[in-house]
Amino acid sequence: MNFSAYIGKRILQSFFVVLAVGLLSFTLFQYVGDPLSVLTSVEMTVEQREQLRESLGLTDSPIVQYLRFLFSVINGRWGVSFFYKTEVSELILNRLPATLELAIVAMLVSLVIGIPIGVYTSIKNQSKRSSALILFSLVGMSTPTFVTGACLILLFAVIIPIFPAFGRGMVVDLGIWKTGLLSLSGLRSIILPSLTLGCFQAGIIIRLTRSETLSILQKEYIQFARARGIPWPQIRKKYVIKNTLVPLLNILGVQFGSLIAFSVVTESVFQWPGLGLLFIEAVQNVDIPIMSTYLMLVAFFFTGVTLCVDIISYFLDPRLSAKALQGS
Amino acid sequence: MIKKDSILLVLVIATTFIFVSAGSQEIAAEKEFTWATRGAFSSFEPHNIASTFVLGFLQNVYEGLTIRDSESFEIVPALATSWRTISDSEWEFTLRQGVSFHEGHSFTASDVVFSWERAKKADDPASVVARIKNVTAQDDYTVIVDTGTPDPILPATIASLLIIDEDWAKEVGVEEPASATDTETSYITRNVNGTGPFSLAEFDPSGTIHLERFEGYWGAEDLVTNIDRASYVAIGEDSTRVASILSGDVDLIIPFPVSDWVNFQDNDSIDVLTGLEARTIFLGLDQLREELIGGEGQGSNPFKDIRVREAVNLAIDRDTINEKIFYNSVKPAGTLLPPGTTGYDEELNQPYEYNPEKAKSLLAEAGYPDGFSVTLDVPNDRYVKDEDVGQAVANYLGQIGIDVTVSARTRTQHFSRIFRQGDYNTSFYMLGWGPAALDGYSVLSDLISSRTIGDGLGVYNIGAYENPRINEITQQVGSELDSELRNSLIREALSIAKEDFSYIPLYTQPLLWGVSKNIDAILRADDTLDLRYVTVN
Repeated sequence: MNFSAYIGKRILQSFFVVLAVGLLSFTLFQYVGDPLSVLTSVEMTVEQREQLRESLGLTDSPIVQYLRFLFSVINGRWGVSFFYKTEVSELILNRLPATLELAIVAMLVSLVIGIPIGVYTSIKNQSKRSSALILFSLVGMSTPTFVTGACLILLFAVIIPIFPAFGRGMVVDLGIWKTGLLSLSGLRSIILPSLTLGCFQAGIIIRLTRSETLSILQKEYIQFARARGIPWPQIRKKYVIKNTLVPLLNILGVQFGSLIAFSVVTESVFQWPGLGLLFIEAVQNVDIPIMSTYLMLVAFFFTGVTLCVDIISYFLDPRLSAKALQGS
Repeated sequence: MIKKDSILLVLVIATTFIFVSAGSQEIAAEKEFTWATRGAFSSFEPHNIASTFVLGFLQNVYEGLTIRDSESFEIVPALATSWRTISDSEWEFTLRQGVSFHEGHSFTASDVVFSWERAKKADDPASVVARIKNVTAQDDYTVIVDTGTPDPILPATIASLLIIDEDWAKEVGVEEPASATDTETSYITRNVNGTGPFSLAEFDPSGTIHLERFEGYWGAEDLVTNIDRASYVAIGEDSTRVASILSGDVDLIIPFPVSDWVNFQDNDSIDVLTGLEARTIFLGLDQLREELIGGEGQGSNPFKDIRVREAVNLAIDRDTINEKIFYNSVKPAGTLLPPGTTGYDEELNQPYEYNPEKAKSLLAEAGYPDGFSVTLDVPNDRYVKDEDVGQAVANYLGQIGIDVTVSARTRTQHFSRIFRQGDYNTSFYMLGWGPAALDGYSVLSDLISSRTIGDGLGVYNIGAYENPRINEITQQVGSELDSELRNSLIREALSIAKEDFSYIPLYTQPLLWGVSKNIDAILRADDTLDLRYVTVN
């Protein structure tokens, strides 16, 4: 099996995963509730209601609804939100920058906190300070983001009012991308939510870095380097940290996907106008067009990122390509 | 080392910058006001509105012929200056002259006719629009509204028919109301051209809406408000909403969480306004099925027996629910019609007494000395503390031997189950009713008229309670123009329903707003914010 066959197979797999997620979502929509109970007031007559249900295609089976959705997506139409009466593609594009910016900044926060602590705790494995830091990582990982978020809001928006309690601040319009990273109020706004999301991730990064570094410290080439008398700081820099980063990068790809998918809670605590918040509202309003598009998009993100990571590791790790070749 | 230091320096500078700018932001001489609500605002389409929140919001930018004034809570002239009946079914409205829309056109009778015709085409036309048979322009400033049958409350209901500019609508291509069946975004969902005191400055689809004072407003002289710009934002999370008013990011929040209320009664920076919403929360009882849902195999439906219905009513301690769950912010109820509505009677609203001993003996008398089982359906995200109240009721009924299983669902699931579209799939349920146009007729026609006759009445009489006299009265009230007679008929029907123990009225729901000390605003019983009465000091 050559490279292109391997990639082709992976793309095909991802494609089916996305399709399956879509089918699953449409089946689940039947249990979320009746969209018409939000769409219409109680004064509407039953006949009008049934007519509207019919014209929205809600009387069809989930599979028919799904196929119709796929068909209109192929034609470039994502539908119109029941609640906002606005095209879903417009809403998603409007919210996407907020979510991506939050995820990227949170990722940076988690790396800046996570990697140094991870490396430190593995090198100074037995020290008391390390144990304290590991404990901190455990707390970070297991504190739900809504608790961290609420505490940060209380501390830095109410008691010491230096950051806004909610929202994204002023955004600068760059054509198709509205960024909050170029205005001061935007920067002030992103600090608390990205810390919330980043701390949670940092816990995971600390533990990953630590275990990776610990295993590298056991490696023969480290022992050999020490035997040769290379100074310890140099070994640390040249052989330990560098080798830790490669496998870590793989995991980061997947983590980034999950940051986007799991930012829902942080977004709703900080009323961050991103995709997660849009999705939560859509669930409450049984806004099927938004829910279906969001779920497909997240599935697409996840499989896309995994696919990219697979491709990159195929190039980075000769063992993997050898295995793929063997398989054929 | 140099590298490390320079990074540190950049960080220090950046942080100082951020902090300094935080302090120097408030230089605007204009009066600005920001408010936040729990639910998100959907769109500016004025003729396809499914919630009172959106209608209330739009009444700041659009107007109807009449409006419910926030101070008196009475119907007062808006785009019409006066109205009178000219026959049993026809009303004549004299329109205000010299009114202009935000974009400059002047308002005439043809805009009223156009708006009504447009509103009729909505997915969910407001009931007033559907009831009107015809609207004609007699001249530029007179319209005749034909209701087909006498409609005594038309001046109140027509307030929700918002008037848009005919020429503008044709110009920008919004002759049809925006609908969930559209395939493209309608221009009118994001743009406003009304006659109201505020116009739309900026609609940010990610949630913030900026309004500004409309300089050409016809009523500018009598306007109480002094704000120049108003911004709205949705904040779904309770704790974040409270934090944002404490930090001064917003000036007013709706609602203020009931559980935090006690802690903020004498706060230095905010006031909590309290009031009663014109909505009564009650429990309904299945009086139609042969066996109760959740009580299969019991062989009979106990709720058909008036003694059981009385027992259930007497077994619930509404005062304790008020104290323990609501920190004394609700008003225990004895009827389905809330205070502040036409036909309301304080005496009738006296709750049933709490008397568990009598309830027990009534159950025994009815042949259920050991009680029975039933499932109680409640929503968990619709009314204030809805699920908690359901649990409390289950406990109280448990004390007289009735085994209640509480089944809590999200509002969309709850309503699609218990309403007609779900075949009234419940035997014991929670519902809150805010009467349309704040008029008692709505309780008669929707909740206590018989639903099995099939005349379109009693659609929300889920438990199928029946009393022929109430059906008669409802027909009469529907077309009675004499308001005194009408009110006494409404009272008669409600007292029959009370004597029949037809429902279990619980309480009138509280309204809580958090307001900064420097803001004056009026809390309305329909929970909407009228910017006309908001002032910043």
